[in-house]
Amino acid sequence: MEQAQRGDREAFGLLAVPLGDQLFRVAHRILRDADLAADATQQALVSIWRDLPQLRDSARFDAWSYRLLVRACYAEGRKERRWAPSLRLLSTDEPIGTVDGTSLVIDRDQLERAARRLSVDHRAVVVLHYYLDLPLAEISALLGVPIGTIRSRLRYAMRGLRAALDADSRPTREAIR
Amino acid sequence: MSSEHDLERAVRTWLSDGLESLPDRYLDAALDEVLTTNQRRRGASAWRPSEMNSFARYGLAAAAALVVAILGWTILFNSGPRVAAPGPTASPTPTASPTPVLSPSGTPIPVVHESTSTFGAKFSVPFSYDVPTTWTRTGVSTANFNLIDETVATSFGYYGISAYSLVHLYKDPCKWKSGFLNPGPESQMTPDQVATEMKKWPGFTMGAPTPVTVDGYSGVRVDFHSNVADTTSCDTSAQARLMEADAGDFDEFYAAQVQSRWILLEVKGHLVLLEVWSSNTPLSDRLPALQRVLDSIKFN
Repeated sequence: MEQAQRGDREAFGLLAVPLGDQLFRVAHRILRDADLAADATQQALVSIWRDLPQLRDSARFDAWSYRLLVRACYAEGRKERRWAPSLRLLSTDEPIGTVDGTSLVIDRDQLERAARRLSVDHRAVVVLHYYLDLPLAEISALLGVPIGTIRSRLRYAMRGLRAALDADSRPTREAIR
Repeated sequence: MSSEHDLERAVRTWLSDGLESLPDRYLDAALDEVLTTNQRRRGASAWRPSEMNSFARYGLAAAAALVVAILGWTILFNSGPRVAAPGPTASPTPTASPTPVLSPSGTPIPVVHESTSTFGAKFSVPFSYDVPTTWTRTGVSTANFNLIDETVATSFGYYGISAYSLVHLYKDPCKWKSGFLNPGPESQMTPDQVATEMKKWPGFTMGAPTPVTVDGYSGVRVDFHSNVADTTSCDTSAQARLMEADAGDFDEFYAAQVQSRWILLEVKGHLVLLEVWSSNTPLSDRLPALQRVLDSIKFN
């Protein structure tokens, strides 16, 4: 990383392979679209290269990279609202447990739909907190947003996701369709 | 969905299901772009993780008080080619240790005496200062360097001092791509003139320039903060770029949380800019430690 920071493109190339996957995983979960996520990751990788000399503390490389990634996700999210149908086949090996009587498969479907109704801002906080397990204070620092706002975004997002699951768990025509 | 715990579990399970690998063509495209993309030099704006300070927007002293005291000085070297962002350099030359400072727990922290001339920062006006040994020096280039208190940095509670040479002010820190405020370099201006020019920044609230002296050299102190409401529309999303320093360095902040103090000094015919900043905690909490370093500055 230090070599890349000093302008070594070859070193950055080596860094970019695992980093690209690492960032893409996060971008895909934020944007919920493979193409948008790949575009955002590509953009983030270039930004990371360009701004790498400005990173003061290499120990914070991951957090700094995520910050640039989320910024790229914002840009991609604004660019277009094209949501792919996101049909994913679940492996039969995957556990189909239940949460409070609702199958996880249905949960996933409902969560997916509910998540797409959230803004990129809200989804980013959910992903950073529940996927990367970052504390709210760290997300606040990473995004440059007050912790109160982060807390509020998370609360709003979780309320939306909960509503989707709760609605699904009721025996309505919508739920059993 | 009976509890928050159930919901969190469902969300975690849902998030665990997603694509894992960036398609090769995107990685290749990124690396192709890297081949034609130059890196930005280190700047005093190097990333400081910080909590956003709503103060900047609402004028309240707040968590991410980013206070800046800048000692930049221009025209970094008098002759010869510019040196591109040198890497880590010789460690500071400790001299007779000044009076130790106390950590929050009351433990004495040794202080060392450093000089810019000992670690490769080729400022046209070298200077020395006393700094606690728990602080680190980063981002050394021909035009700037930063001193950060690492005892709090791990919790994203950064504060420190940056110094660099101001060459140009941007016309609009949010829309910095619109160019510089003046065609001629601000390095040729007096501190008062620069402070007057800063008032032209749209979306910023500028405090009145206040006379200051550092090591007997006079100048002005300017406090300011950003009022940019929609920072995502800035040319660099969420960030404002204030100035360009020598050697292509620049100073960049989260546009929505900029609260800065610049100290512009005229030293031996050069414009010197010192930036003292704090994030995640109000400046007032950090000022004593920062002021100690500022007070120790001696221009050589």
